[in-house]
Amino acid sequence: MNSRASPRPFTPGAVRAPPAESKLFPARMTDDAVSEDADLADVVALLDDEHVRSILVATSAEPLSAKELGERCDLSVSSIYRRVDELREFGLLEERTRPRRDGHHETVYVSAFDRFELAIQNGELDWTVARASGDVADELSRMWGNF
Amino acid sequence: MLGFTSAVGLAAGAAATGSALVGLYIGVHAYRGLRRNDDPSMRYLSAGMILLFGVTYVIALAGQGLITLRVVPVRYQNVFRLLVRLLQLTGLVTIAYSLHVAARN
Repeated sequence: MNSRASPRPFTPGAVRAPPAESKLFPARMTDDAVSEDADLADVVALLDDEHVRSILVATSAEPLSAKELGERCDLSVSSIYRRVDELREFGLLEERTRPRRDGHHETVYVSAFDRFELAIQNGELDWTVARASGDVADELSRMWGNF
Repeated sequence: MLGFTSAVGLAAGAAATGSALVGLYIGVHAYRGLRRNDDPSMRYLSAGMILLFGVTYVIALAGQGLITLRVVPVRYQNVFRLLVRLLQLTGLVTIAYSLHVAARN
């Protein structure tokens, strides 16, 4: 079974290009909730990083801590944090808390990325980054833990 | 009157199937929660939900089928009832235990 709920358009934190009259690349986030503008070049530059893609792939399967991500992507924890911060700025990675066996809690990251689409049709360029909904299993774990 | 009885029986069966499916849906997500988050409380929640809704449903359905087909004498009906109740109790105790495991974490 696909672990992800069906994708929803990238609303809070939506990255969607404006209509074609914007000419080429000055695509901006349309949602007011996102303070920082994102343009296509930023998103493409972010996804061009092999390690960013590895982080998204790994965290789409299961929540992972920075240390675990470092081991999987063969990167230092500080390099992971830098990429995690960038991804979180774009709303493509979410932070969660997970109980550890020793009774403490640790921060883990879950991918919120679903797909990136670029369409050029009839003289119009349109691009969208779609976010995936939160995973039901993670919500259940969190809710049960808060009981 | 027979039509009414059949309709009620059918509705009861449909509701039981619906309960089993929803219970198993939660149980499967609890199991996924165990796999994704390594959360031990999800192990007991998942096992409890599957016992409470999945296993009891199958036992009750199988029992009813075997009795209707006269494979098992009707006097064993209460044995199936007892088995279902015991499994329900075990499922609930397992879910209650999962709450304590969650609280420990």
